[in-house]
Amino acid sequence: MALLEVKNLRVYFHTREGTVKAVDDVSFTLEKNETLCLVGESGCGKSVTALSIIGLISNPGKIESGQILFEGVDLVKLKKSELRKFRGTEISMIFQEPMTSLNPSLKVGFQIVELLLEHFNVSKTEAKNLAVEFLKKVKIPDAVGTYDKYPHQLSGGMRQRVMIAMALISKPSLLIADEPTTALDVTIQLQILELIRDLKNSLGTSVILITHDMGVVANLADKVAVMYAGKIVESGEVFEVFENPLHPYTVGLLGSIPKLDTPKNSRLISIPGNVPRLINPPKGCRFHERCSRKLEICEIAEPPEMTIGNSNHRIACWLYSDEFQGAVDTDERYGS
Amino acid sequence: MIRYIINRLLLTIPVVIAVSVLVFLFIHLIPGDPVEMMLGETATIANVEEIRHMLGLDKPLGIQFLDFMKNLLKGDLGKSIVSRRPVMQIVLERYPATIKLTVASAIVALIISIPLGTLAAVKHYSWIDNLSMIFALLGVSMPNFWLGPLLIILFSLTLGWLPPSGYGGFKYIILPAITLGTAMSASLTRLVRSSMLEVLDQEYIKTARAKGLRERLVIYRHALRNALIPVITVFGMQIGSLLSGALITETIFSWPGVGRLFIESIFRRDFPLVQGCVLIIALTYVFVNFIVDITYGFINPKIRYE
Repeated sequence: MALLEVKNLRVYFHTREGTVKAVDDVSFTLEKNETLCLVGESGCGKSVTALSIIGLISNPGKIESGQILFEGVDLVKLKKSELRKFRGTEISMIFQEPMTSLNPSLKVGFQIVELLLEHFNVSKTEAKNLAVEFLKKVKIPDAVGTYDKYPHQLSGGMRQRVMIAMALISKPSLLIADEPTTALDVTIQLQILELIRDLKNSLGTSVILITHDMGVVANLADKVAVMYAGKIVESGEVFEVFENPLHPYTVGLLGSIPKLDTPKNSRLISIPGNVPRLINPPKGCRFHERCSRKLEICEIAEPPEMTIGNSNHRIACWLYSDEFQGAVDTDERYGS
Repeated sequence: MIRYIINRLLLTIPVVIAVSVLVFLFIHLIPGDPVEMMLGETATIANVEEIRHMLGLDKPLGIQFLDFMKNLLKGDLGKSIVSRRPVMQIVLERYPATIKLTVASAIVALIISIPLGTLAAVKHYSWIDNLSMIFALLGVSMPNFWLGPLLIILFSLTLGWLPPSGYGGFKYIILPAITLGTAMSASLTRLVRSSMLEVLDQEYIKTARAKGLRERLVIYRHALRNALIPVITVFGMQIGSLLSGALITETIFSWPGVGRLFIESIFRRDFPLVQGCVLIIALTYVFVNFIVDITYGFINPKIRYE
């Protein structure tokens, strides 16, 4: 059984201006010990997907339909109080802004310890010892001293380490990291990513990593799912998607990264336009307005989701459907 | 923390000096001759001279100031013209009544505003939220000189439950405390609500929820504590104004506090007493602000360490 199976998830925000379909029919699975990267531009529904897993969608957002099966239990159907018991124990989350995600008026040590005291039958001393141990594990130099510090006394990187310690102290089966390095210095970014990877391996945690940085994906991911305007447009094993990106959006994302072997005078690819407003998404394929390889059908009908050959590589694009064969020839499509 | 407190304490010294200078100058700044004003049109020149000499107003300004400061340091604010008793003694006699009323009103205000404001924020846009905002609007709009008599009519005259005015046991403090507390709690409720709404939107609240904490802990341990920081400033100022005597409410309920003393001394043109009241009121403000600053330090570690 997969650790996490998200099936046909729809999360809508009912606002006065209209319904925002932030996540629209999203499905994916995550196996034990696997790292899945959710990639896409800002506002494409990555964070909302992640937050809906731990039931922290804020008003006026609502899970409209779909299932989130965590070890077989449908989290969508659970009562608030039952879902709360999964949070911080089985499923942990770290956020983008280490500067603001710790409570400024409580000592960081206490913020870790309170999680243990809430969920586990431990004494205060045991909890403190465990917290210090985990502060050491996330490579905070003076773990004992840091325990008694307030967030504003720590740097951004240190705070994110504290967040990671807090998230992993209960040895959760699933860690959701929502852009954990976006707000950090480039030098610190790599340290934090390596830390997440090492701890993931030693604790046997599965990870959902949300990012818009393809470099991060290449570094950490086993699987990748590319989201655009509330939908997953392409997904698969990371090497498949990187070797053979099919969706024009994925091609654009990968093309926008500078490489060492890019000729000096050539321009980087950029995808024209912006993510559409999700109150009134474009008809047909949501990407068609920005797509360089648009077909007539793209404006009319939503593309079907297809599996490429017998791999895990899935894509939703008319270019690769039988009726509208595009650039890829049949052999390549069926992987034979 | 101790360094922080000492720092704050040192900062009050210039304020106290400035206040003293202003209070001293006050008698010279009002238009006309204060002594003639005090005695009225029927006063003889001999009378005027006598009072002027008694108040030391016949000496040069510099000498007067030095005398004033010298006496002030000894805790001597002069003598009341009417009762001929030391001003300090009269004010201090009235102080306990004002403190009692302040504490009672503050308790009423906090009991109403913190739960109501918190609830309104947590249940944003619900009927509780609307109700609390209507209450806040009413509370802010109702002047004390209207609410006070209204309470007296209902609880004293009609129902006969509580005494209409006077100073004595617990029963006597209820109506004035409700009158003052309601007005205070109205603005505090709004403040708690808006501050709470802002804090509930913060990332660390999301973190607290993601940790699987009970909602009660999320609200009280993580949100309320931070939401109260701006509330304390306003609350402190309100306490300051209550401690300096709620002039109207004390008068309505014949409450023998500093506020009523202040009004009485103005009506009697008892200048030394007015001066004494102003000085004590100003010092009270300084003291309350000092306490507010220290409370800040306790609640917000960031302030403490800077």
